[in-house]
Amino acid sequence: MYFRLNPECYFIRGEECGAIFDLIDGKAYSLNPQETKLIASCERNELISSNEDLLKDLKNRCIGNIYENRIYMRKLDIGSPLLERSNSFPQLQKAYLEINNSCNRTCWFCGYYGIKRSLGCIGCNKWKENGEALTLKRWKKLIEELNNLDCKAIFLKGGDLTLSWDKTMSILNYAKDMFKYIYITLHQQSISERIMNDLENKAELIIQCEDFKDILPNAHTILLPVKPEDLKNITIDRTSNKNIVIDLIIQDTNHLTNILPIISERNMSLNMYNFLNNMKYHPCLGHTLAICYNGDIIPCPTMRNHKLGNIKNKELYTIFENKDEGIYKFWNLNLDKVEKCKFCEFRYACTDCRSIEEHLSGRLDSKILCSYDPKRGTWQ
Amino acid sequence: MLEFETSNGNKYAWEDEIGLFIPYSPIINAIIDEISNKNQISKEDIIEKFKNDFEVNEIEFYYNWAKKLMKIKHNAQIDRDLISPSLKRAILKDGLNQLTLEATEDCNFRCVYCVFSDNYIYSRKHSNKYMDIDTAIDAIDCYFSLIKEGKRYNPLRKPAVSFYGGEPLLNFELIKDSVNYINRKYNNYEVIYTITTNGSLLNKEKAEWLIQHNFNIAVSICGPEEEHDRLRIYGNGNGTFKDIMQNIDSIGDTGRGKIRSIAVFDLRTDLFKLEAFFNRSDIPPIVSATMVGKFEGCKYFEQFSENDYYLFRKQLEWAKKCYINNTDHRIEKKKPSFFDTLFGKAATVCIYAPFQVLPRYSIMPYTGACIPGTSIFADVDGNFHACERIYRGFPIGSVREGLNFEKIGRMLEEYIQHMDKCPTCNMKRMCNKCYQYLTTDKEFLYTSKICLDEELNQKELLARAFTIGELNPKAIESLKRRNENVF
Repeated sequence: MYFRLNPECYFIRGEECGAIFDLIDGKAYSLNPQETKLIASCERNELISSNEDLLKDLKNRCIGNIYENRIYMRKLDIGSPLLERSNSFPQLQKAYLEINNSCNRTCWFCGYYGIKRSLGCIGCNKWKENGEALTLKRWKKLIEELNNLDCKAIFLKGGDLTLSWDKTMSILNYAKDMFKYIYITLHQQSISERIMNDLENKAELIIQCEDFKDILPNAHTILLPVKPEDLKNITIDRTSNKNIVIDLIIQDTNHLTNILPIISERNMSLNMYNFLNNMKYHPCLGHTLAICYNGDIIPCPTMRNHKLGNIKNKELYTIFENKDEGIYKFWNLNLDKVEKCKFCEFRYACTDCRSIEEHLSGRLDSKILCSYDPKRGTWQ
Repeated sequence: MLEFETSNGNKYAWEDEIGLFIPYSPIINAIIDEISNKNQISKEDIIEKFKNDFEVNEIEFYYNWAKKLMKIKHNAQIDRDLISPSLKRAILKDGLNQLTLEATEDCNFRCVYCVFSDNYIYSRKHSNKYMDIDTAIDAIDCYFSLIKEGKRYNPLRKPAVSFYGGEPLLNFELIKDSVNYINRKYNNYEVIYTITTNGSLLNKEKAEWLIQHNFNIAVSICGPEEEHDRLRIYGNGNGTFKDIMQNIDSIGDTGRGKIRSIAVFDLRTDLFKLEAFFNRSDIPPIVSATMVGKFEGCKYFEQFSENDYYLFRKQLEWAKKCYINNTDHRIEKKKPSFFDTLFGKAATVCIYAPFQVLPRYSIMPYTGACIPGTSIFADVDGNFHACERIYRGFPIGSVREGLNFEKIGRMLEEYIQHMDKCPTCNMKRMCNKCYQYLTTDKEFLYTSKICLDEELNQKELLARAFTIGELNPKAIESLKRRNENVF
């Protein structure tokens, strides 16, 4: 007899263990070494005994089936690998637009002080950088250029955008029908009735909070910066505060423990599109770029050292002209290219922050924030 | 569902609604029908209904699976960005892949199967018309102007210019002048050049010039001398093989690396002789192997008897068997064989080309036809057409007016109106029919009239592809992007 996983179920091997990913039901099944060998053998179309309990269990879960003969399984894919020529034009999905670099606050978690945090990309930050801000005219042109590249989502952020509110609203009004998703990040203290009225139905609001007690409920996402050592003191009632997201401060390796959410064993949210995308691209940097207030282009708002060009005086598409370098180096950095991750069976279902990893190790392909040991198949 | 069975007796189905190949069991079809008709039907009801014909655990498995598959169908409809881009934007972003210049309508060959011969009633005929350099320059300027305009949508596209005929080398001066013009005026672009030639005029001097200018050279060679000369002859009836081979020999090993063979065969071709011939180290690698084109207005096949068809089919079956039984051997070979191209490549295409999950482009929902403007073919008079193979009654602009998006829009609208059979077809996503098959010189043809044996042909192709896949998946997955640890 032969056993084969259904076309929608991918089996990924790690160094020691494997895992099965059901792309329709969004479930991941972790396998021990023995189970891994068995499924690998099945997927190589080798003869097996149909009495194996695991195979019966997988069949009951509608993951695979038993067949009398060797069969050929064409796995589920998205689109057409031959006809769509996915590399033929840059597939820009997400752009961060840093409208200004001004702020009068002195928040303890700000990038200004060199602080690194897990969601610094969508939070507000001021940077110790100089440069003339792009004009409103240039931002509007950039909106068109992003639209021409079929960008799906934009994040408007600062600095404190309320210090440039007219400019921000002009940009937002100009952009509002051109993108599928628009987000805007504001500090909690900047929120006023007028601001909320201005934003109504134009953008999803991301609120940067300073403290748990400051949290306002009316937002798409609420970012709460937390130091690792304080995490144990925080309890979020998920039933009433679904939109609160912990923005973990990670300055160095001193306070890292394996219980931190970013490091520990976690529930992976499996999505067919993301999983197949992650086989080729980095799960976060892929299809993303950030436009700094002064026109510099960087792969992520917090990776300030990687300047890929400046679009103050040239069109945005010029950043994408050379397929072998620049932004593509970051997009194509899938986890097969990251040390440790490349041995891990969860690599296409996992999240990853290159910005923090690089900050901690000084290298772009290192992995520190993970307590899974793929060479042993154990969580520490 | 489109069901098919491999030589090993395994059954599969192509589920066109989702775009997925699945191992087939009659029960899944019945269950999907039940679920589609009565959405609320329970597993217990299904078991009760089918328990006399199928084992209960099989019914349960296929019920659960059918339910899962329905989820993709639902999600795909939600996830697809249904906003249709404007036609011009779609072409500027994803089109303009190549400008083909028809250097001349003249040819020094009179190949018996030529699409420009009397065997094809709707095609243009050979003439002594040659494209002049002004027309070529206008076409080039128009193409590069569109490429420039399209950069903001697609900055990665490299312009490609191709020369076609007749026999394009009869107008070698035009080719040289055009390339020199591009090099002077558009030297900030990396241009891909291609030429399709019969090889008789490809002497050392011309070959060296083309190679020096980075041309990809495709030479039509239809096999060993007796096979080639049966099909490809001069106007006086003499064979052309010796002249072509003499030219290829004179080019030398380094230059030969830039040349590729394209082969055409008919019902009297000895396929095994072609297999042996293209395996020779002195013959340029084969990239295309196609049967003489059989589409509306073609009289070429009238010469063949029932027996010819029978014998060819028998030979083809035997060739397939030999190929399938030797796929291990094939993987190790660096140079593709004739059978690799004929069977292996075709199998890979039919498995990997169909769109999965997401529907096809919204602008061209049916058939495999491109959006005109995906490539531009400029004929000797400077009229633009969707490609070199479409009959000339559907121009999409000219060197004078440029690419005419309104004409393209009207052409698409009319074409889609003729796709009357397509909405109910169960192999929409894998259709490879295009304008060449669905037009005469003046009008579009209804798919209900043209698509008669398509399902049968496609089943045969799929059965062959999956048979190879069962025996040796690696042979068919040369395009597979995943590494060894992904299954």
